[in-house]
Amino acid sequence: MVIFLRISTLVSNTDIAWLAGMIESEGSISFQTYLRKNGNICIVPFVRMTNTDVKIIKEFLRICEGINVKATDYMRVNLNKNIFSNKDCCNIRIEKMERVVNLINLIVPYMKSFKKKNASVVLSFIESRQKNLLNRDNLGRIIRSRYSKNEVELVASIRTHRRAMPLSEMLCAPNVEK
Amino acid sequence: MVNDTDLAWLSAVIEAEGSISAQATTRKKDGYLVLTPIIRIANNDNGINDEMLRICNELNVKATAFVKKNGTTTTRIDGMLSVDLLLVHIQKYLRSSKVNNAEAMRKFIQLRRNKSPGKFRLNKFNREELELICSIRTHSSAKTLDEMMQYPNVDIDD
Repeated sequence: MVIFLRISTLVSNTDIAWLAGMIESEGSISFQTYLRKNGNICIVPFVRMTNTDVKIIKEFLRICEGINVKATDYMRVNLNKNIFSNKDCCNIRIEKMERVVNLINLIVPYMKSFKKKNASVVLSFIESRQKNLLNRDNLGRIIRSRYSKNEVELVASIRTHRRAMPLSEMLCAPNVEK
Repeated sequence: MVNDTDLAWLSAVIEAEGSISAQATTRKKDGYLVLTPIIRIANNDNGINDEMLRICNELNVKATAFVKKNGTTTTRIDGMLSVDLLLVHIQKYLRSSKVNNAEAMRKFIQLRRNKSPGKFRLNKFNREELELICSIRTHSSAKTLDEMMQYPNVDIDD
């Protein structure tokens, strides 16, 4: 896969290693799956990090900007501080295939945890999707291709939470190849 | 071999999953206050834990890992020498509010060392040292400065 990535001179290798450590500790590399109204499944690869420390959030965003990967941050304001937590927390989310690939390719050399495996699964999924994303139908119209069974299995392999959509349910979606 | 990226990675893990603080306990035999600088990281990923221990070993920092009943592994670095040695290496890579904790901890260690090298336990704590410790121990159940000042091995006049 060809990557066109401009890295600012203000970002060093130690910054990237710090980013990798932060994602391994407080972040996640996974897929978001949801069903559209027509029953089609939608799979979005993402990298996310959550923290309450403003300095960490700012530094994370600075490095993302430096490596030219757009990250979205949004605050989760805790209205009832006595029940859940004492602090407001901030989520940083990087999605869209190109951005996720660029980020993961940079941080993978510094990763040590099981999230390295998640990262490789996400890369495999994206590579597979980018190869077969668009096709033409019988009339020559461009159509978005269905998810293959292999792609869905890749997604299910790292979504291990008990509330995650099970593989069988994903395979039933009309836009998954039977 | 430990390089800069390893240290930057370790500092990120400590900022995210760890704490830089001091453990305050009361010694049973004489009721003295004991302040132990600690860096602690809790995680359940073997890859992260192994890498942390490797880096600490390479830096000659004594680190102890123990597994809790719930399966979480806690890696603990305690004692002035070990904590100071690790902070020397990672301090420049810290970016969060734990920078302040690291600075306060190193200053505390420096003050203790300046008093009488090699005889840390025999010297009384003074108010400045306790204020440094209290500045980073902000939990609601942590000992307050007033409580610490009551201990027999605290020099009130100093």
